[in-house]
Amino acid sequence: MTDTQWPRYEVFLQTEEGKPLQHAGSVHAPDSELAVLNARDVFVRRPKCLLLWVVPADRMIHRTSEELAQAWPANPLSGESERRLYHVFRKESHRGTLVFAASIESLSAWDALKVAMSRHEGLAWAVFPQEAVRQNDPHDRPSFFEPALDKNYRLHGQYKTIQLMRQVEAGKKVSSTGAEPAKPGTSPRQT
Amino acid sequence: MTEEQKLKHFEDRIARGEKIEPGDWMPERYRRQLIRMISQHAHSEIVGMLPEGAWITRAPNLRRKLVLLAKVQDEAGHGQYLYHAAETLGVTRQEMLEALLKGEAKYSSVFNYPTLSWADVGVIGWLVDGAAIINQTMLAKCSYGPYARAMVRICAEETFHKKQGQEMVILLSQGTALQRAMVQDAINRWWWPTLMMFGPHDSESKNSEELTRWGIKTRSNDELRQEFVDQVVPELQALGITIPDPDLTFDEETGNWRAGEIDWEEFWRVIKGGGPCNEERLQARRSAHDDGRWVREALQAYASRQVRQERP
Repeated sequence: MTDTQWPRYEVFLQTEEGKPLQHAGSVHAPDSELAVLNARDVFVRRPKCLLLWVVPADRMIHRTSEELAQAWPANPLSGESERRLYHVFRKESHRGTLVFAASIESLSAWDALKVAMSRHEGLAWAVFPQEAVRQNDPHDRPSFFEPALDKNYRLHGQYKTIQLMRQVEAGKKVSSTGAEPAKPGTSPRQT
Repeated sequence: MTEEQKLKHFEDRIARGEKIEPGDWMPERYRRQLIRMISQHAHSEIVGMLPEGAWITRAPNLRRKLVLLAKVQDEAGHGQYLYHAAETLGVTRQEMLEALLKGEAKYSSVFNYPTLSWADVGVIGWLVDGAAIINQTMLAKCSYGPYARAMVRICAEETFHKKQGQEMVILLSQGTALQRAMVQDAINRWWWPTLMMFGPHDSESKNSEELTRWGIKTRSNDELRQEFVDQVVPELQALGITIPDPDLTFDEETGNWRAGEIDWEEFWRVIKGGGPCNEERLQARRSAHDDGRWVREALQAYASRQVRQERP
């Protein structure tokens, strides 16, 4: 049964132009390439997505403000010797989720987090290095997200149930396409 | 802080409407209750793909086939959102899957009934998904952040499920004599299992008080069931569909539709494994797991080779 416990990847999405990346959840996958595919299949069945990131869960530090107030690592810089780019996400409000806050070049994730926390308030925080990110291939973007784009039948607005109920209550004939229904004596109505 | 102080602080946070996030202190019972609820909810989505999945190859036209495929695909995705939410509480995917495949984990009992006609697909969409929306709308406000967020995402997608089902039932109910009979038969079989989805009467529900205090369950089973009944009864009746409840009456004073008593013997029998499809559902999941083994092995082999090739 161990083959069901694949590594976990945290998923981040940018759903619209101008909106920041946001945490959406996580997927399991044997590698980062499949993680991107799985993330697309799980989180982008509706049209809205411009950018998708997956980050191995074990590369991400994730703490609530309450946790950080109680325990900050004693030697956050130990073992680190290079400056890297870190992405910091924060949860700003109770109703929201982790949203992109800043990209900070630093010697360690904890140092980057400290810098971000000095600039913003937050209820919860996440940090990971740029190098841990795999994203959807920008060249493939149109076809990668295209399957969701023209499938309007996934959108509830396509189903005119209120209109149909009114028609029934008014004693009118109904049909799903809105076209004239078949005359009596012809083939059974296609629903 | 003492355990008592921590508990007080935790309960105050919930009372203020704050979300509990992974990493926050929480009572062990809160964690265990949520793991149970969320994993059961996830299993329900996955098992819930089976009754309607059976009709994908038999949809009457291409549009309906595409819609049904999309719906079933959504259920798979919803299961994933929920497994993720449960994992944030410390349970693993492996543990949850093992529990399901061994027959130890519960899932919504409504999926232990068979889908006998195409009309069942429409009725399930309208009634079963409709009932789920009422429950999930409540859970979208729950105190545990990841679960609440999963619920919001699910509710947004579930509305299409309910509406496509309702559209189908409306059209069938206004169709040929054969279509009308088919949809009436489906309602006859799915009405009571749908009402059972809301669970036992509040007086029988042992977890309720704690779940309410901890912001997990903010409305009672009976309250949610009543909302559902009041919503669908007038609409079904307007379509000329008979509700298979001889005791159903309209309470002039309160404006509510009073349903007859649920067959609790059947309710408990099906939950405990004695429903028409419990065995079949479990077997389907086990077969899917076994039949998919070669795919998992291939993906794992590919991933391992990638790692070996990347290392100098």
